[in-house]
Amino acid sequence: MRVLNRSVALLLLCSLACVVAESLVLDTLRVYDNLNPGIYTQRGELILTDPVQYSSLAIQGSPIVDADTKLPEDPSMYAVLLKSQKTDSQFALSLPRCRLNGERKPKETFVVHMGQDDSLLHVHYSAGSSENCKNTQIPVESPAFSTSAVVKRRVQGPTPELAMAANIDLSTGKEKEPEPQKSFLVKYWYYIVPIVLLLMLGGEEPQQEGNTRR
Amino acid sequence: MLSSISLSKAALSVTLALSGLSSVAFGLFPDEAGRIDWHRAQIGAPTKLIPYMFNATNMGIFAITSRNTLASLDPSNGEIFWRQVFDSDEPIKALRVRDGLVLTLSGNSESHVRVWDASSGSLAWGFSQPPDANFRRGSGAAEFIEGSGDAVAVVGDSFVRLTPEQNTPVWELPLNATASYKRIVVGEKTAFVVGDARPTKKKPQSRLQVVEVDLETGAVVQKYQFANEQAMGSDRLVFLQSKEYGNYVVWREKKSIVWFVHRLGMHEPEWELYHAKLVQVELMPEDMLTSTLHEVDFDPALNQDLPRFAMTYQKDGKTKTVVVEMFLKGDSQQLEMRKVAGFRSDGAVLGSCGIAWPKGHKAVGAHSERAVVAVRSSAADDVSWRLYTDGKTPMHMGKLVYDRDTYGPVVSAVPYYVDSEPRVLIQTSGGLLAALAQGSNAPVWFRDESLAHAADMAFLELAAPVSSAEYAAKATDPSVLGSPVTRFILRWVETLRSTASWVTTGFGIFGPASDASASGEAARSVAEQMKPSSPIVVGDHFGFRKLSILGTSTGVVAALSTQGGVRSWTRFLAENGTAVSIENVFVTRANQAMSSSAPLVTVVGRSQITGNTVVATLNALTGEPVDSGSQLVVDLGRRHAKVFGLPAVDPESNQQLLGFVYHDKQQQQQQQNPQLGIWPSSARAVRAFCGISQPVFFDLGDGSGSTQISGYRALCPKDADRDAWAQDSLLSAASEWVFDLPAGETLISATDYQHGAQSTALLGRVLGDRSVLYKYLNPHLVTLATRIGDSGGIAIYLIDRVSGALLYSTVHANARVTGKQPFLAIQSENRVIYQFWQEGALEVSGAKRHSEAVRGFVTVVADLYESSKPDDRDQSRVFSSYDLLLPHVITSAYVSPEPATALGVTRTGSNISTRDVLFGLASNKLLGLPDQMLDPRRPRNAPTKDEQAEGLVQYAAPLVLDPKRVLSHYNSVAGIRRIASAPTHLESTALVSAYGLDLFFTRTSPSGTFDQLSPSFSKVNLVVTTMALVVGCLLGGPMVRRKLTNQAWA
Repeated sequence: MRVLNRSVALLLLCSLACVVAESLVLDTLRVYDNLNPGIYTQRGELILTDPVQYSSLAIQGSPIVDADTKLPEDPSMYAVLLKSQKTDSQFALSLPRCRLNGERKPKETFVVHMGQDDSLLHVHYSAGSSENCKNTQIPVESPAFSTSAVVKRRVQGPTPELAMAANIDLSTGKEKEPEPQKSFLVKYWYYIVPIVLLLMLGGEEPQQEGNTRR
Repeated sequence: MLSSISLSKAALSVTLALSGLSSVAFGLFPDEAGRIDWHRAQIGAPTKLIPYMFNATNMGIFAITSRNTLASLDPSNGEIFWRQVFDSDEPIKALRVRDGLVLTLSGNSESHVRVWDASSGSLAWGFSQPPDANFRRGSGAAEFIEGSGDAVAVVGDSFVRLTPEQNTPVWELPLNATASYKRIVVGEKTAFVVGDARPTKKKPQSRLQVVEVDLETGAVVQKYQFANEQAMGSDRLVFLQSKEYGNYVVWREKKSIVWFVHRLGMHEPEWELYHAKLVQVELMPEDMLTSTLHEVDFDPALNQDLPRFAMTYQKDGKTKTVVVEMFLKGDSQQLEMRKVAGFRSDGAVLGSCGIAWPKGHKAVGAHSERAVVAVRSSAADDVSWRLYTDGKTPMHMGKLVYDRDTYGPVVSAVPYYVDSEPRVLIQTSGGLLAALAQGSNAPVWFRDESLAHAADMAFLELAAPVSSAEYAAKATDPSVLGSPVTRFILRWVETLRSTASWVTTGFGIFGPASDASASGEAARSVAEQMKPSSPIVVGDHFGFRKLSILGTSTGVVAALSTQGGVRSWTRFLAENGTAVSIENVFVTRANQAMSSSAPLVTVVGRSQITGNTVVATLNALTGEPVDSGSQLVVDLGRRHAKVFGLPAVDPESNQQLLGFVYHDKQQQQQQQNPQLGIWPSSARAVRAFCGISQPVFFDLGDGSGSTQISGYRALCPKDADRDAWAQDSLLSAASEWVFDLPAGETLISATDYQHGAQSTALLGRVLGDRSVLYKYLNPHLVTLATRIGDSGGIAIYLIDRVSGALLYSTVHANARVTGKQPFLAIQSENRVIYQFWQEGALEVSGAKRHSEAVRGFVTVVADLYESSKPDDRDQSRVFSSYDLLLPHVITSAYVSPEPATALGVTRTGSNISTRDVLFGLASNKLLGLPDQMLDPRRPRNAPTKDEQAEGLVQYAAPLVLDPKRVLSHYNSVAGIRRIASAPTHLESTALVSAYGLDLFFTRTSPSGTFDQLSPSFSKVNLVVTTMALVVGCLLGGPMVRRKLTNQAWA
C-alpha cells in the first residue's frame, strides 16, 4: 500500500513537473531545411524557453508538404523554414549555400526576436562564413551544425526626457525641498560692494576755481 | 609743417574712410543676390477659376487647385494676391465667391466649411464636422444664402446651415446616406440638395435624388427621385438657376433624342425639348445622340437674369455649339428656350463667364458679361480663341503662339474683363495658366504651375567652364575636338574671352557676367519668358551650377539651373494627347567632360489611359529625344510595382540600366514570383546585366498597408535565352526571404532604397579618450514603421534587404500616425531619424520625475554601431548581409517644436563635413539642424572633459528652432514634400532643394566655408599689397646693396 502511495505521489510530481515545464515553454519552432535543393525536411526543433534550446532530430524527417509560405527555391541558397507550433506562423530564411563549403560542423545561430509580451516577432538566421565562398570544396552532405540561439526582445523606444533630477536627501530618502532663490544683491554682494567703494573713494578731487593748467 | 601734418592726417582719414566705405559696399555681395537661393511660389493646377470683383474697384481671380490651395491672383499680371494652403489630405471640393467673401468646402472624412475675406485671404469664420461613420465619399457641396451672410453645406452625412454668429450649426439635417449629395440649389425659402441616389434592389438604375429643405427650420419639405439613368457630372445634364424663373435641371437620356426639363420641387418633368427647336436646324437622330450640355453660368446662384446653357452637337461630321436661353414668352406667360448664339467648335475647349456682378457693379463696359469662349488649336503651335455673346459672329477673337511640346494642349478656358477689355484665361494640361488678350500672339501674363506637381528630381552635373569653348564646338561639330591643336586654341580663346569679360565687369568688383539670372528673366518679354532660354550646358568651377531635372505628375519634365532657377529646357510627355504621370527621374548617363556623348535622363511614369508603365529617354542638356526617329514615350505594356537603377551599363547606349519589377494581381493570387524587366532591353544589355559580379536583390510589399515583405534575387537567363532576348522579355526572380509582420500590424512606410552605398569618410566615431566607436554601415538597411492594431502605437524595424534579417526593433506605444500627423523617416550612414506624434504622459522611472506630459511631435534618432565597446570591430574583411552582426543601437528622443512635412540630409562630396539634418516644416520653413544637435550620445548631465572633447553638448529635450538655422530665410516655402541634396566640388558646401507646392533652392555649408575664401575677402587689396611689396623690394634693393658695399669698404 505504501509502495503504491509512493508511486502515485511520484507520478503526480512528474505530472506537475511536466505541466510546469510545458508552461515555461513559450513556443516550439520546427526547423526545416533544404540541404537537398528543392526538398525541405525537418532537421530539428527550436524550443523557446529561457534559454532557447535547439534539439536536432536523430533521423531525417519527412519532406514538408503543408507550407503556407512560399519557400525559397533558389538552388544556390541554403534555406531554413521555421514553423511555430503555437501560432502557425512561419519564417523562411536563406543564405548562400557556399557559406557552408568545406565545413563539417559549421556554426549556426538563431536570433529569436520576441515582443514585450513574449510574442514571437521574427527569427534571424546565420550560418557558416562568407570566407568559405572562396573555397571550391562542395558542402558536406549532412553537416552537424554547431547550433546556438539568442533571444532579442523588442524594447520600448525612447521618449523625450522632460525631466529634472530629483534632489534626494540621503539621510531620509525623501526629496529635498528646493532652496529658495536668492536675490541678485545677496548672490553678488561681494562684487558689488568693492566696486561701489572704489567709485566712492577713488574719485578725483574737484578742482579749485580759478586754477589753470600748465 | 603743422599744416602739412594736418593735411597728411586728413588724407589718411579720407583714405581710411573710403576703404571703410568700400568694405561696406563689398559687404552687400550683389553678385549673390538671388543666386545662392531662389524661390518659386506656386499654387498648382487650378480645378476651378472664378474671376470676380470683390469690391467696387478690385478684381481677383479666385482659384482652387489640385494641390489643395486656395488662391487669389491679380488679373492684370497673374501675381499671387494671397494663398491658403490646406492640408495634404484635405482636397477643396467647392468654391463660391460672394460680396467680398470666399466660401470653401474641404476635407474627406472630416469636412471643413470656411469663409475667407476676399481681399486679404484671412479667415472670417469656419466650421468643422468631425468624421462621420455614414459619410459617403464624393458627397460635399456648399452655397451662400443670398442676403444673409449665412451658408448651407453638405458636410459628412448632414446638411447644415451655418452662420458667422455662432460656432454650431443653426440647424442640422441628417441625410441618412441614401445618396451622394454634390449640389445645393438655394431658392428663396427652401434649398434643394441634389445627388446620386444609392442604387437599391428595387431601383438598380442610377437616378438623381432631391431633398427640399426649409431654410429657416431645416425641416424636409419633400424628398423624391427623378431623371432615370442620370448621374451628377454627366455631360448630358445641366442645372439652370434663376431668381425670376426658378431652378431647373435639363438632361437627355443616353439613347434618347429628347431633352427633359425638370423644375426642382416638381415630381415629374415639366416639359420636353427637341433639338430642332434649340438649334433651328433639322438633325438626323444619330446626330442628336451626340449632343452634350455645358453650364454657362459658373456661379448660377448669382444669376438674376435669363438662365443659359450651351449645347454641342455633330452635324455632317462638324462640331457645332449653340447657346440656349430660357425666357418667358410674352403672350402665353410660358417659359420657352431660344438659341442666342451658334458657332462651329471643332476640337474646341469651351468656357464661359456667366458672372452676375455684385450689387452696384453689374455693368462692365459695353460688353456683355455673359460670354462663351471657344479655344481651339489652329496650327501645330498656336491656339485661337473666339468670344461669343450672341449671334454667329464672335465679339472678340485672338491667338496665342506657344510650344505645345512644352506646355501641352489647352484643357480649360475662362473669359473675363479688365477695364472693359476682354481677357481669356487658358489652362493647359502641362500646368500653364495664361491670360490672353486681343491683338497679341503672346499672353498678357502667364504662370507655369507644372512644377507644383513635381514627383521626383535628379541633379545633373555640368561641365566646368574652362571647357565651355570645347562644348560649344562639340555642339556644332564634335570632330574638331579630335585635334589637340584645336583643343589648345579653343581653350586659349575661351581663356581670353573670360579674361576680357572679367576686365569689362570691373575685375569682378561690380558683379560677374552671368548667364540669364532671375533679374534677367524679369527683363525678358512675356513671349520670351514662355520659351525656355537657350540650354545651359556649362557649369562653374565649384559645381554650384547644376541642372535640377524635375518630373511632374502633369507630364512635364523641366531642367532648371540651380543658379537663379532659370529654366534650361522643358518637355511635355503625353501619350495620345493625354499627359503621362511621371513618377521617377533617373540620370542614366552622366555628363563626361571629354566624351562626345550627351548626358541622358530617363523618365519613368504611368500612362493615364492604360495605367501601363511608360519610359522616355531625353538628352539631359537639351531635353531633346535621343532618337528622333522613334516614339518619345514608350509604353512597356505592363504595370511596374517598383523601379530602381541597376549597377550595370548598356553597352550600346552607354546608359545605366533600370530594373522594373512586375508583379500583377494574377501573379500574386497564384503566389508566383515577380519578374524583372530591364531598360533598355536588348540581348547586349541582358548580357551586361548578367556580367555583374554581385547578384541583384529587390523586395516587394513595402507599400503602405502591407503585412508581408518579401525579398527576391534576379536570376539570369541561360545563354541561349540571352541570345534570343526580345524587348518584352523578362528575367525571373527567386524568392529569398519573407518577413511577416506580427499579427495586427500593418506597414506605414519604408525608407527608400539607398541606390548603393553612400561614401563614408569616417568609419568610426573618435571618442574623447581617442578610442573609436565603429559605425555599423550597411548599404542594404531599410527602416520599416508599422501601425500596431487599433490600440495605437507604432513599431520600428530595421531590416536587411538582402537577407531579410531583423537587426533591431522598438515600439512607441503612445505614438499616433494619421493623415495630419504623418510618420517621417530618413537614413544617413549609420543614423536613422524619424518623427511621429506622441500622445499623453509617460511613466515615471527611477530617480527622475517628469515635469510635464510629453504630448507633441517627437523626433527619435538612432545611431547604429558595430559594438557597444570602443575599439571593438568586426574582423571580417568583407561586409556580408548574411553574417551575424547585430548593431548596437544608441537612441534618443527630442521634442520637435513644429511638425515636419519632409526630412532630408545634406550631402557633400566626400562626406567629411558634418551634416545638417533638414526639416521641411509645416510653417513653410526649411530648417537645417546640425548633426550634433541630434546626437543620441548627448549626455544627460554636464558633459565630462572627454565628452567636451568629443563635441557633445548636454541633452535638452526640445529641439531649438534657431531662426539663424532657417535656410529659407524670409521665404514662405509652402507644402514641402521632399528635400534633395547634392554635393559640390567644395567639400564644405552642399546644394539643397526643397519641393512640393513651392520650389526652393539654396546652398549650405554645415561645417562653415573652410575651403573657400570669405566673400568679404578683397582680392584688390591682395593685389595692391603684393604690388606695394614688389615696389618696396625694387626700391629698397639698391639701397641695401649700396649699404652692404659700403660696409665692405669700411
